[in-house]
Amino acid sequence: MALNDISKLVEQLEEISASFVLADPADLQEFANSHTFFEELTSYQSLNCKKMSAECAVLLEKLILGEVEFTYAINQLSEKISGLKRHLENQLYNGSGDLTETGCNVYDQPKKASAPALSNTDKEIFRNFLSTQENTLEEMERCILDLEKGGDISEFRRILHTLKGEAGVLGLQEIEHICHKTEDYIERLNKDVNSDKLLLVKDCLQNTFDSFSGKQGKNVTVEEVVEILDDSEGGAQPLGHVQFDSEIDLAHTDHSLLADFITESDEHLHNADNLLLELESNTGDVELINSLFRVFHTVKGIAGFLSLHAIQSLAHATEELLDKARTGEIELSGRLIDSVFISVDVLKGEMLLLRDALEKGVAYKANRKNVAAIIDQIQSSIRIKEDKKRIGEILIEDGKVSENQVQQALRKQLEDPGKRIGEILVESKFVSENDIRQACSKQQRGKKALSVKNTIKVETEKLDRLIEAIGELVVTEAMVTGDQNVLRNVSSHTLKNIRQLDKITRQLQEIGLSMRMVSMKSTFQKMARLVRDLSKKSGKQIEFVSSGEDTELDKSVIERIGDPLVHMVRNSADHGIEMPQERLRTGKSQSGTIHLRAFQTSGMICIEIEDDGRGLDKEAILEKALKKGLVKQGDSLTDQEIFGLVFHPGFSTAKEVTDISGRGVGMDVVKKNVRDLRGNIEVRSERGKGSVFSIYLPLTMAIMDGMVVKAGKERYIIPTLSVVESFRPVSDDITVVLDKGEMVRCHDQLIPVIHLSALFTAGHMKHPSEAIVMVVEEMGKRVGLVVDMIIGQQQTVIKNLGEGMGKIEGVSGGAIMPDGNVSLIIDIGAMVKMAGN
Amino acid sequence: MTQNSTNAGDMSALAGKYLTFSLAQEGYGIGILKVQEIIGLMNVTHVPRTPDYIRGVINLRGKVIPVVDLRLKFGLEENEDTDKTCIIVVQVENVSGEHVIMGIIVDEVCEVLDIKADQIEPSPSFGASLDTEFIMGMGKAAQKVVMLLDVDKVLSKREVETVAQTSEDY
Repeated sequence: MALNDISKLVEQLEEISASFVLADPADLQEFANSHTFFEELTSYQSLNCKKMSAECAVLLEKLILGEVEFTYAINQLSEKISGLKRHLENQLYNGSGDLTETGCNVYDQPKKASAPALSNTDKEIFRNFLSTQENTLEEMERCILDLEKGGDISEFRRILHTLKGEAGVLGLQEIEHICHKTEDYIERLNKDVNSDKLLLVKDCLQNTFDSFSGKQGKNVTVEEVVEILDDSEGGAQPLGHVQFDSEIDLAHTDHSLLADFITESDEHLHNADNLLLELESNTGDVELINSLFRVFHTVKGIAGFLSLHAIQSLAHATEELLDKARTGEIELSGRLIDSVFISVDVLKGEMLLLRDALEKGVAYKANRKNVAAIIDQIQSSIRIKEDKKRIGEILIEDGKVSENQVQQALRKQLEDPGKRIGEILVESKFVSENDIRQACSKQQRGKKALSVKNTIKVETEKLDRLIEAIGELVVTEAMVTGDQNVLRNVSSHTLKNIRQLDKITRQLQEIGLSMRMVSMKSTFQKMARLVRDLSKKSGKQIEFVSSGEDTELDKSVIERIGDPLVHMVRNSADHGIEMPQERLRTGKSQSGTIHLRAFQTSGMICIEIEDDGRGLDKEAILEKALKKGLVKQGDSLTDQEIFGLVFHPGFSTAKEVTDISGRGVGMDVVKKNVRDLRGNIEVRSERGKGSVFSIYLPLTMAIMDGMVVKAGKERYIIPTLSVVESFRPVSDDITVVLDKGEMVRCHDQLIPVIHLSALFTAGHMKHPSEAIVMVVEEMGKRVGLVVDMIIGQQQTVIKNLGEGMGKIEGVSGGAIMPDGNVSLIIDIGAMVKMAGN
Repeated sequence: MTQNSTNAGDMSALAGKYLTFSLAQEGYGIGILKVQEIIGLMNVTHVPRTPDYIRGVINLRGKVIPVVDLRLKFGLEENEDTDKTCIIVVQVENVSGEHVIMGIIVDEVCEVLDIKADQIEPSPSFGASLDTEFIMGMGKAAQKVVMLLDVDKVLSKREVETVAQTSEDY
């Protein structure tokens, strides 16, 4: 098709859209004419705009038949036409029609945005956008999973909407398109959405983002997903969430009034910014909120008078929010403050548009997309706030308890004020613990949406450098303040300063370490998804419960614990939980539960995976171990040791054991990973009842609490966590057992002895009765380490011995001592292994 | 400056600045770009179950790095440390291409020499039994002959891997 033909079409389109603005609902002839035009347009194959024009035609048809509301249809039409127009214009400028048809979902946005060439997009913005998407997608997934448990869809919609907006600004039409389609889909089916489809959308988005950041693996295409979404039930036209006229002809308005309004509002809005900033630091200051309220109230009033509907609606929504804050109904903080900020920004933008329109003498067109998005956001945040209910109310609503019962419980609570209402209800057997848990999570959902902390994004490399520098500072500071020569010769005043320096350094160290700490939330969410998928695939009914996802762990630890966790959770779902029939047969509830929890315990983080499945079969494991020669007949093993056998490399591939005991696939890898993190793994299990796998991890990879000991001429560090006790044995305590070497008696138990100085050839070796035996424990096995003396206990920064050093058996790393020298950290696991040989 | 080329004919690639030091009265040189810094001898923590020539580890401003006694590494006689004994901190590339920081203990650091292409001769061959792989060439400068070392090869990862191996055999 010739280019000037296209430009003619564009002109025609312009005419039509202009005619719509002034259209008379009664003038059907005009609509009919336009209808013919769109029908014609559909037939131009080369233009690639068949779908859009067809949509327009259908809409017009409905309009003529009076099936749709007039203003709404006109709004929809003008949107579509402007999309179409841009599409054609693009072809005109590019001279080709190779642009995909996406215009059907474009809102009134600046012209350049319709050309999605990534090279045109600000790289920095785009990178920022991408880096935040991981979170967004995780949020999405959480919402979807929540949805399955009867959660609210509004949050998902809000996320989707925001994403759509952002994608639109960046010109990522693919993403905008799929978001839009999903919104339509949700709109259509509301509560009855299929979470599988939503997850598919999430996966598709993930893929798209991954492909942006250069990662491969795009296995769900946008087209497929859109098709799937469209596929589901009738194609009724979606209704916009917010209705207002986005285009106003300024010709009939008093221009001087408008100009006054713009200047005045600009001032007000500027003022609002300041008020908001102040409010951020003085949360809940009623006077500030009142002033803010007045700002929006004024703007709303005048905008209404001038028939500026978009501005009026937005000001109204914000006002409503502020009103609720004013009366103390909701607290204006976190995301809500952000919403108000955005609202102010959007209003400022509208003022600019308005000024522009006034100066050029054209019709004022509100940035409908922005305005609608922010109104939606504000309204949904108000809703979320309102959702915050009491546990009792939630339970009554869910039909779990009667109002009477709650009243009863409340009376009991008066007698025993320390107890929670939930506990009382469970004690009185009105509800199950599970019900309470569900109700709590429902209540939490309302709260969670608002506890957003302010964050700043920093490159990890910078952070690492900072932490490294802090580490060096700590060491150097310890060298100075620990130097007796310095301390002896300074005045008491300097001494005081040194103490202060010491304190600040410690603080700095703590802050530095806490900066690398990340919550386990996203890891847990992945598990939730995993369990869900596994249960669908296997036909088992598995409920996933998680707790303590806010527990924080060093980022590098979290990165490395992900895979083992996936493995364990998969094992629990695959082998632990039985099929529903089998569960019923053994008198269990039909659906199994996998409980993932994280908590802090004595300086370590514990992650537990608990299932109520079939549990480990001790006998089968023992039998297998005997066959493999891992244990000898007659060895008496503790439960812990027996279960520990499943981590043995040979066990993992043994098919028959996985069938009997249901465990062991790749457990050696899990074990290795956990060990590399200086962690530990424990198993508790009862046959038929289920099993618990507990992974213990150090809080950070960088710092360790250690006992400093001396052996020969060197000092060594023993991880305090491994130390059971230390004592000086008498000669009688030490015996030499044939084949096993030297043993020491400790609480009527014989444990093997290792001479550190002999092992490390660190010089002179004392007889154990002149030295100290430190009993250390690893995986339930004990070893006595003979050292010359214990120097003390100390927090040490763990360093590897330099990349050039490789791995030295028996040494897990080095630590820099207060005097600047390096001491080696003993690898207890290796010691135990050596003693065993 | 690429130093890996030991092609007998082409020595021009080896031309450049070298830090020279002495070990048992002999002069050696390493490419200046490999040198990070020179530090005085400090307290070295012995690491057990490593070959003799690994003296141990030191604390280089908060970083733990291994230190190699070059005398022992080259099979020379062990000597008492003197005031002049010092540690040259070098950045070497191991087999897998990673940059590794290590220290080498030498008797004395001499000077930085600018060695031109025509002053370099290929390393002498002593027959197959002697491995002179880590000598890139012989530099002649002002009546002295310095052996130009390929530090990457001297302190190759392979060496260290054998270390780890031996300790596991225990």
